[in-house]
Amino acid sequence: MPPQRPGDFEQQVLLAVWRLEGAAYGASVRDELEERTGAGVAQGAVYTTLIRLEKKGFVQSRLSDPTPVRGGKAKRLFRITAEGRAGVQEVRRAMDRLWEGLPAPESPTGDSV
Amino acid sequence: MPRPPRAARWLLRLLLPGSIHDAFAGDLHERFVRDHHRDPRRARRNYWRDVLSPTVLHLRREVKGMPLPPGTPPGAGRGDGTMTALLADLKFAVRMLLKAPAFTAVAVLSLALGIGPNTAIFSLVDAALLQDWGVPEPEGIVDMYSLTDDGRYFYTYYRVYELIDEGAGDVFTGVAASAQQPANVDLGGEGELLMGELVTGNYFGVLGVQPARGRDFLPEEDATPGTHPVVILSDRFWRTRLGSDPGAVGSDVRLNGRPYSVVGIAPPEFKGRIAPGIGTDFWVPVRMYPHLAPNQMSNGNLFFMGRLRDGVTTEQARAVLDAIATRYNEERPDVRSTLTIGAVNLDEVRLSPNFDDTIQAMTILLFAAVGLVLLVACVNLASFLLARATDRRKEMAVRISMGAGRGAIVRQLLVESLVLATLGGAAGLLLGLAASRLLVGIDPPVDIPLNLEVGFNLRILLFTMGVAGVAALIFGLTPALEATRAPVAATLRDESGSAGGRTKGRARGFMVAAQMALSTVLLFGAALFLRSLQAAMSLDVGFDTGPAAVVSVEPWASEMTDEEREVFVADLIREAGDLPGVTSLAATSRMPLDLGTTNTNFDIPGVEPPPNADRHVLEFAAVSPSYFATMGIDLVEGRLLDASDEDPETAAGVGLLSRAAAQRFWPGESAVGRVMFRGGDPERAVTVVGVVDDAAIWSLTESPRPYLYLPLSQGGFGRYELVARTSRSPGQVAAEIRDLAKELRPDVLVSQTGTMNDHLAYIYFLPRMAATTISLVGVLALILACVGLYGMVSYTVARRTREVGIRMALGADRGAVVGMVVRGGLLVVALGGLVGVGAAFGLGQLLERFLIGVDGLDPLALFAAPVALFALSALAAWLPARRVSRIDPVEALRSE
Repeated sequence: MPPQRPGDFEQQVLLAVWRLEGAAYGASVRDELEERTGAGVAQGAVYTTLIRLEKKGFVQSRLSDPTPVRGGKAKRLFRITAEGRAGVQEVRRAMDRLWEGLPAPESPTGDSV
Repeated sequence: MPRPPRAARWLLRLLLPGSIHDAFAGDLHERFVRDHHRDPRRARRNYWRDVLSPTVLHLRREVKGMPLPPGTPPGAGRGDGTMTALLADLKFAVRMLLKAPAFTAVAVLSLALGIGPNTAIFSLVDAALLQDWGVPEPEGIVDMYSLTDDGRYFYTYYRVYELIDEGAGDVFTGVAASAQQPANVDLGGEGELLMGELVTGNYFGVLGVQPARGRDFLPEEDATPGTHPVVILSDRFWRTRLGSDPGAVGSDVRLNGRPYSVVGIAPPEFKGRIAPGIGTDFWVPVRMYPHLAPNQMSNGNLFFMGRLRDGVTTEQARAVLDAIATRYNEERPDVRSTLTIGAVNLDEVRLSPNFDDTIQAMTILLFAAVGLVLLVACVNLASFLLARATDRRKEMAVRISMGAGRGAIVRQLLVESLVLATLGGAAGLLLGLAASRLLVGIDPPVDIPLNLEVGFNLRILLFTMGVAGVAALIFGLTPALEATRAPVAATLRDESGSAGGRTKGRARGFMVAAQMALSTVLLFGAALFLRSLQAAMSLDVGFDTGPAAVVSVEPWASEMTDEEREVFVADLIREAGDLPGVTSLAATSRMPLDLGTTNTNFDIPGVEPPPNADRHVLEFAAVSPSYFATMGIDLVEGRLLDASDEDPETAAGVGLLSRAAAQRFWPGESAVGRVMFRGGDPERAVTVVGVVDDAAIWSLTESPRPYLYLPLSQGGFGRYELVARTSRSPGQVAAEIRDLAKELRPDVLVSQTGTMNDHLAYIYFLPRMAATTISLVGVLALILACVGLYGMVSYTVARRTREVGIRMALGADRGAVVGMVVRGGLLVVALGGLVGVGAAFGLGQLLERFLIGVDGLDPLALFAAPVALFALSALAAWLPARRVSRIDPVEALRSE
């Protein structure tokens, strides 16, 4: 079976989970997304996507211990699976092929080396 | 540790299945705690936004059938079952209601009429009383007034402020003072009278309020009198008058004709210290009083607010204030000063410590009235649902025989009630908001610009939801419990007309009777209020209330010298008197019954001042000589004022007393020729030259008050009311007088242009408002009760078709059959009415104390309420009963 491709927002969430390796859960993924993309997202949207990604096998989750800063609630920690990595990389490759020969977008900070 | 809003947490728990809820709520909680450090309001708002986001519903759908992650405690996924069952109930309820659109429409409308008035009153109360002062940590702010022996709070003197400021440093970090001060605010056009506060320079600092734009007052702006014309504007003024102009700070605004430099804009949540429902429009340093309030500073019109030091209690502050008051009194042995300082915590003040109790009582009365309407509406619904339950016996019997538990059926029926309540609540919310806008639109005839901002907010939504929820329980529970009591086997065998039906019929009859009783009470109350209004309007007030033009001119609010002002007023009186059709014209510093007063004190040789006072205090008005003829106040003794009394060259200090004043000071003797010394000053003697009849000053029902009339030149404070009797339209003449004033001085403020009727609206406003509101409420209740009666009779007719068929087949007369049904309905009405009249006796005793000139057992009211009830309910019973006569006996016997 060819690997499923994650959708647009799914890719963003997946990348955030990957970046946060080991410390990804609802709130941290949302922070990461908002910080990196500069746009606000609803917690519900993030979580819906995480659950969908889990169903598709791109991420796995487990519960942590409860902490007081969360009102005594446990974290549901997410980890990217091999399929998840393959999925986003496949999309990246496809996009790169499409970008070939086109002017690259200007980096917003302008100092990438 | 801050906690997210309880309602939002609760809603989230309801929306999400347990398997996902905990982790998700934890994520939101984490973000909330972080936001809360920066801005608690925003944190709450963001939390709500996340909970109410539609993505939460997507999540709910996504999660179904999801395996639980490892580490989930056993049982965490529960709650799903209830939620799913409730959703199924909800779907079913909506389907059932859609199947009976007429029933649903009447039910929702009934509920809306019951809930709407509650929402309307609540949103008014919310706008007037539940607004925040917009001050951080209000529990740390103590308001200070002078306190009288009988527990009333009064404004007081600047000297008291100085003493507190010096002496209370141990308990307060700072003390600020404020005086209410209207001013003519002019943005280069007409100008309008707005409410402001004269405040000490530390006012914003003590309250802990930061200007949203610009800056706070500087210390030097509160140092020397009259030198720093600077102003901080309210957010509302900035938005509505300056169009949110970002360049407003640094520009000029004219106050009473003089440019003031705008140094700051207050934040939107801070509406000043007059009252949150009124709102302050501008703040000016108190040292500008020589310009804005030249005559007022000596009158003591300040109150103070202090911020308690950490760990200091209000009680400790009171002890320090008591010592300060003692010092103040010791400074003034000659006037037997008896100052007591009253201190109140800001978070306990709604409007003013003097009125809060009265307002609370009125609010409770209003809520009681609209609460009764809601009750009537609920009983209606209960009665409808009871009838429906009877019709649905078969459905219930089938469901029970198929194994549905009683609990499940009760739950199902309660969900139906809840859906109805939600629909009714939504309709009621719209209705109530519309009604409250209308009520606020009624411009109360007071000088102070009221700025109640009614509108939708979360509190109103929660209140309406709460009311609807309680309503659902009241009208839903009885029919739901009743429905499950049907004997299953008998119902399934189709044995209708069993004993159960009769019990339910009796229950409905009881409910309608209760409605009728409630309506009688409300109608009786309404009739009493109307009678009281009627009595108030026919009282003799001692002056001629016939048609006249009344115009208020405020020269004090423009830059004029005293001389210019006198010339202007004299010119205006002369020229306005010459207007065509004006038969007589007078000027006065105070109209009677204008809800205010001016007083001054006198030594009267040979007459002892009242106990506890140093001098006699007399209320007075300064009037032109023609005042008594124009107002129709008769001379009793001596002479009236004349032109020579106004002439500064020839004028000796003269005055007229009211009959009550003459009798108080010189009972049984003539007052003419007696001398009084104003302020005890032998240089300022006032000789009584005449005595005139009493006129009402404060209220319609007062016993005659001692009153003094002085010549215009001896008592004007720069505000004048012109009264003109005319054969033409008074409104037209008033407009001409205004134009004349503007011609003479284009910069003069004419604050009111109206008629005697407009003026009297002040005093009739409260009784009229109360009578109108309570009448509307009474009529609404009656209509709802009649809808209930109509429903009951219709239902009786439907149920008794077979019986009526037999009767008619046996030869009964159609008219007699209709009569029988109507009688059955009216018997219920009579029972309810009787109970209502009994309750009305009690209500009458209670209201007698509030109402003017009405006997609590006013015979007309006692008679009118039941008659109105009976007439309308006879109609409500007769309309459906007519249908009986159209029953075809053959058809009826064949049916079922």
